[in-house]
Amino acid sequence: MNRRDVLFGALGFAVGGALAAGTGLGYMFYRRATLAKAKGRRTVVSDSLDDWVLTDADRTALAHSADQAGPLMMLNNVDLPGAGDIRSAQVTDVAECAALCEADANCNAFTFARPSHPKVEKRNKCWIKSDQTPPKKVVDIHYISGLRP
Amino acid sequence: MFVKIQDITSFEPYDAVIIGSGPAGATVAQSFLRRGRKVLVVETGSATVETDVQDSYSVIHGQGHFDSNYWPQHWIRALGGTSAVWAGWMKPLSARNMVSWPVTRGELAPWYDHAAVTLGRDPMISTWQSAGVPGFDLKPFSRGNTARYGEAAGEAIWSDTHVHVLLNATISRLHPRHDRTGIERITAFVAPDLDVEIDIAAHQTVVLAAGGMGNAQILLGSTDGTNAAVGNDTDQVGRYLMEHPHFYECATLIVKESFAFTTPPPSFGRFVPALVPDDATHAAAGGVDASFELAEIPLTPEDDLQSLIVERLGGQAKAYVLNARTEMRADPSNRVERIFGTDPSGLPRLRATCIFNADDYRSVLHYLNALGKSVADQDIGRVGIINDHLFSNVTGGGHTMGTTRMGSDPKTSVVDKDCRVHGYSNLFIAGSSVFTTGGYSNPTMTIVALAARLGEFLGGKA
Ligand SMILES: Cc1cc2nc3c(=O)[nH]c(=O)nc-3n(C[C@H](O)[C@H](O)[C@H](O)COP(=O)(O)OP(=O)(O)OC[C@H]3O[C@@H](n4cnc5c(N)ncnc54)[C@H](O)[C@@H]3O)c2cc1C
Repeated sequence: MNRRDVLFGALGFAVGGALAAGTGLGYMFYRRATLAKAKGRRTVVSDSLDDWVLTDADRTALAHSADQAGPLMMLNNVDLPGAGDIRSAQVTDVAECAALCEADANCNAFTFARPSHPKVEKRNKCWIKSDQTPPKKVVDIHYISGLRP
Repeated sequence: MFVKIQDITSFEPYDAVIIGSGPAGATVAQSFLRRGRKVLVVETGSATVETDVQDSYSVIHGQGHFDSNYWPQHWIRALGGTSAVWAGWMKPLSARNMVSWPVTRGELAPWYDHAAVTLGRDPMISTWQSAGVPGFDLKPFSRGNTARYGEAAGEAIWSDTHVHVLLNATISRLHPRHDRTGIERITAFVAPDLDVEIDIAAHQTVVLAAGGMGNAQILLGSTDGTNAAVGNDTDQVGRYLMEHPHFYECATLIVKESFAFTTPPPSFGRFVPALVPDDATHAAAGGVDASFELAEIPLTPEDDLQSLIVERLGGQAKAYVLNARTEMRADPSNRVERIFGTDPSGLPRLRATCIFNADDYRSVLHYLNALGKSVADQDIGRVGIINDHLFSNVTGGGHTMGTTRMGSDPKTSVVDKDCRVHGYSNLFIAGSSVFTTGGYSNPTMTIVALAARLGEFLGGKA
C-alpha cells in the first residue's frame, strides 16, 4: 500500500454524509474520519488526528505524508462551477483526479464527477482548475472537489 | 425458613429484624445463624421477581444523569434483592479509595477475604496485580459465578430454622423512642392490606439492608412530620448519592503485537483485564479513581490513520477498545429526597438527583491522555480518545451508593464506623448506602465485607 492509497483509499466513504455535514464542507485530507464496525459492537468512530496521543516523530511522519499528497482540502458532494477550468480528463477515480491536480503547478482546484453521475458523458470526468477562490460551491452529491487552502 | 405473619405469635425470640434479603441482608442473617441466634428477615418482594411488585415499589423519579427508568431498573424487589440481576464483577476498594472513611482498608482486609470466599472466589483476587504500562497497573476484575441470593446462594440461609423470612412485607416506618436514642417500634405493611406493629425489645436490633435507595427511603419516611426523620437531625439522609460513571468504548489502544499484558494465575479465575492508574498518576488526576477495561478488538484496516499508526509501531499491532469505570466525587447536593406520594406500604416516593461533576470527566480525560503519553513515550503503542463516547455516552453500573454515609461527624454523615445510625443504639445499616466514597470498584464485594463485619459485631455481642 503506498502513501497515496493510504491517504485516498477510504475517501469515497470516509467523508460520509453525516460527518461531512457535521464538520462543514471542508475537510483536510489528513483529517479524515473513518467509520469502522468493531465486531458486533456499536460503531467506533476513530476521529481526527488530534484525538490520538502522538509523539512529535509521529506528527512529522504523518505531516510529511500529508504534504506529499498535496495540501488539498476535500469538498465532498461539492461542485465548483466556473472556477477557471484548465482542462479535463477521463479518470478511474478521485485519487487519479487529485494526482493530476497535484502534478500540475497551475492547478489550484479540481472537481471529479462520480460514476453515479446521471449524465453518462460526465461520469468519471476530472476538471483541473486554476481558481483558488471559486465563485461558488454548489452542493451536489455527484461531485467531489478539491481545493488548495 | 419462610413464615407467614399469622404464624408469628411473638417477636420476642428474634435477636434482630433485618429489612431486606439482598446480599447485605443475607450476609448479616448468616452471621446470626452461625451463632445459633434468631432473626426475622422482612422482604417486600416474593420468592421470584414480579413485575407488579417492581411497578408498585421501585418507583424513583430521576433527574440529572440518570432518569426515572434508570433507578427502578436497578433496584430489584424480591427475595435476594438486586442480586437477581447482578453481573458478578468483583473487586475490593483500595486504600486510596477509603481515605475519608472512618474505617481503614486494613481493617476491612479480613472481611474482604471472607466476602471473596462467600462469593466463590479465591481471596487473592483482592491483591493480585501486575505492571501494566508506566503509570498504570494491570488490576483485573474478577468475574466468576454470580451469587443469586434468591436462588442457590441463599438456599442454606433462607432454609435455616434460625432465619425466619417474611415475604411480601415492607417496613414502612421506624418509630424512635422519645429521647431519640433508639428505635422502640417498627411498622410492617404485609401485602395486601395489613399493618403490623413490632415492638423492639432491649435485646433486639434493627438492621436496614434495603438497598442504596431503600435504606434512605425508610429513614426519610420515619417521621410524623413534627420531628426530623430518624437519623436525619442534620439533614444528611439521602445526600452524597453516587454511582459509577461508565464510559464504554471511550478510547482505542493500539499496541505492538509483541507487547503482552500479564495474565493472572489460574486461581484468579475468570477475569476482565483493566488498567488502573498507579498512586502517582491517581494523585496527579486529583484523587478520583478509574479503571480502563481492555477489550481486544480487530484492527480496522479501512481506517488509514490506524494503518499509519500500525506502520509507525513496526507493522504488527493489535487493538483494544477501552471501557472506563470510574469514581464520582461524593457531593452532598447529589441526593434522594421525598416527593409527593407513597408506595403501597406508605413509604414516601423518592426523587434522585445525580449529576457528575466536571472534574469527574476531567479526571478521565487526564488518565487517557496520561496513558497515551505513557505508551507513546515507551513506543509500546498509541491511544486514540473517542471524545463523543466520553461526553455523550455515559451510563452507570446499577450501583447506588452514599445515601446514608459513614463518618465520624454526625454533621456530615448518617452512620458511624460500626454502621450504627448516629445516636441510635439499636439501629444499623448494611449496604452501599454507607459508602463514604465510592471508588470505581463494583460495590457488592464491599457490601458483603461490611455486612459480615457488622454481623460479627452484632451477632457476636450476646
Ligand atoms: C444490572 C445490574 C448489574 C450489577 N452488576 C454488579 C456487578 O457485576 N458487581 C457488583 O458488585 N454489583 C453489581 N450490581 C449491584 C448489586 O446488584 C448491588 O450492589 C447489590 O445487590 C446490593 O445489595 P443490597 O443487599 O445492599 O441491596 P439489594 O440487593 O437491592 O436488596 C435490597 C432488598 O431489600 C428489599 N427492601 C427494600 N426496602 C424494603 C422495605 N422497606 N421493607 C422490606 N424490604 C425492603 C428489596 O425488596 C430488596 O430485595 C449490579 C446491579 C444491577 C442492577
